[in-house]
Amino acid sequence: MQQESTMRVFYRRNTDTIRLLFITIVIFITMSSLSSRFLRPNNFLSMGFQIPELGLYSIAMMLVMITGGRDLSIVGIGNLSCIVAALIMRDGYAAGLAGGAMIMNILLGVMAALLVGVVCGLFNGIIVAFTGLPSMLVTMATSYIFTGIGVVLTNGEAISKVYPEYVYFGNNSALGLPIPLWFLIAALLITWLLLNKTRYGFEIKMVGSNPLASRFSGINIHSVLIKTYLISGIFCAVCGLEILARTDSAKANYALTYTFQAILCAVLGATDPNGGYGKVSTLVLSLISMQLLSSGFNMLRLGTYFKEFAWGVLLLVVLSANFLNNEISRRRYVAKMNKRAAQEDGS
Amino acid sequence: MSVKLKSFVKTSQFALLVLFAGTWIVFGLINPSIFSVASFFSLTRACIVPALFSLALMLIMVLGSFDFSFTMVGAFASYCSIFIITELGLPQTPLIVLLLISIAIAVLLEIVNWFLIDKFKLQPFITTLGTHSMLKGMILAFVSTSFIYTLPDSLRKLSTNYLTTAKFADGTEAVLHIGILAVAIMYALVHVLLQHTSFGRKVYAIGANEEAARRVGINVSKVRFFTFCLAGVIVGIGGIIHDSLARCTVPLPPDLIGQELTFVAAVILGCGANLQARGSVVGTFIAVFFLRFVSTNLIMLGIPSYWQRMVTGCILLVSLLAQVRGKRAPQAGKE
Repeated sequence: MQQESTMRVFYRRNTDTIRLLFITIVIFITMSSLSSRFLRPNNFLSMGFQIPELGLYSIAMMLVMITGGRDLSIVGIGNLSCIVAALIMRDGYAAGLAGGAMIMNILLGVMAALLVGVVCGLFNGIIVAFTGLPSMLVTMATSYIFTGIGVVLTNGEAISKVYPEYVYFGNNSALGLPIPLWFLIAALLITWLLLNKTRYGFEIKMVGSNPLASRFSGINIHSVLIKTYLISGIFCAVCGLEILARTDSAKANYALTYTFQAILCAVLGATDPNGGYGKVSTLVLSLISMQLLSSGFNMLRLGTYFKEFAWGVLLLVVLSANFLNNEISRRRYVAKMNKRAAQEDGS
Repeated sequence: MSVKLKSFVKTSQFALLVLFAGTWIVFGLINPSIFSVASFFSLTRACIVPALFSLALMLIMVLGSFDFSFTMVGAFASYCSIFIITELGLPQTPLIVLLLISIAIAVLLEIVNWFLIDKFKLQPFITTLGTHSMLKGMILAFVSTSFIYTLPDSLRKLSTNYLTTAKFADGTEAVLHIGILAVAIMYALVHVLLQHTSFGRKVYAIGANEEAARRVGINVSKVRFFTFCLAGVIVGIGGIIHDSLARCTVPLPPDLIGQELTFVAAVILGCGANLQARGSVVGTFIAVFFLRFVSTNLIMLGIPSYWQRMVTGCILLVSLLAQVRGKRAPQAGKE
């Protein structure tokens, strides 16, 4: 056998990243040639503020998808924790807290929101792990429950007016980048570490690719699943806090379409919907390309309807392309093996 | 007959029926008008459209597949067919032609779903989520965004076609709409098809274990094709009846789009659960009535409407949990 060169090994290991990088560059060039306003710094700054919400939800979705499940309750968890934090901070602001009391109140709100994320994630995880029901159905039901609790807490109205000091975090930049973007970068780093440098990261991929085999090899599937939904819930809560900081309001039915976009983003980012494979680098690229497309569509004034249509087509095209790609390489492999077998028979 | 009755008593559909009857009595004691015939008639009218759409979803779920786009397909088909008729200026078009156009569009769209799921082996849920979004954008961006209030004559006639009427105690009239006949016919047909033909048995076999079904020589692809087509036929009819009852047609009817979960809940409550071969036509029928009954009467009992979302979610979750029997091998929550 010939020794493969390092370049080729690198290429083979990172085919999906390179392919996605290429797609992102093509989108970038197309959009900047179609609209002259696309390349303005302001445009990139506003993209930086828009990207973290979808990014955090996509991380939550990707983690669950690696186990082979779906989490349809991400937006429900995010909005519920956003509402809980908003209720606490609004009352504090209305009472005119300042200084140390204000910081304590904000911290209380943040902790409560994270707690909501933990509880909701645990709830999902325990049901999925111990009943073996399809996660899609379970999280579909819990999404109704979480959103329903949010509606009951707010009577269906929007909660607004929290501390300007808190809202500052969602609308200003630090070190040249929007503050929410720093949170997203931190979340991506944590996910990368989790997936690549910990035992849990190895186990979650094992469970996703073959639950039975991983059980026989001594992995505690229940604990892996519960941990996954728990972590996903925490990311959703962080996203809820980010939404509160950026918009200064909380609403039970805010941006329900993020569920679909998060699935699209994860699948586009080479996460295998059957479980077992997911990568942070491709997720980042798919996030960037989706945001470029979205901002580009807005600049071309194509409207939200067209955007919805384009998302749907994009998802179907990506899935079909993945299938065809796998099918071609499988056939090529089979043909190669047949040829080799024929040669051996001949000699 | 008595043997059949005895075996029915043991099923979970019977348990659901008992639950329904119990709820009916409790609600009725609080609000006696629930016991009236008129109340039953108005409940029936509200159930016609959900019943048809749930039936279509049930068929696909028995197959072990899933369709998130069926409401959108129904809405798309009926809106487009009425839009075409209105644009051509043919208000005298008979009902059957309208139905045929709608069914043709719906079947075509379901064939797209089938092609992606069967030929490309894509995940049913994600795929149909994609077609759902695509159709939603397509109807608004390329067809029309306008509401059509003047329906073709035949549909207007259909909307005021009653079998019989009854009166509430205060004199308000309630009607038994003719659409319930369509529901009865479709349910009877699907029941016979699933329970008493070899095609129906094949559908269940594929839902239970696709690979095993393939090994015993079932043409999985073909059976799946016809099931998706049948679901298309049902949602095509359902869409037209929905528009007739609503007396106008809109691109995205709010009682269909975004309400997929209530239909899923009906199918699961009626024991079509777990995306496994356990669908029941009778169960779905009872479950549709039960869910609609609970949601309409919660308001009458003085519970604010914003509790509804939570109540539906809780009913679905409890019915899901109730179907977990014994200890199963962990499947990592896979589809």
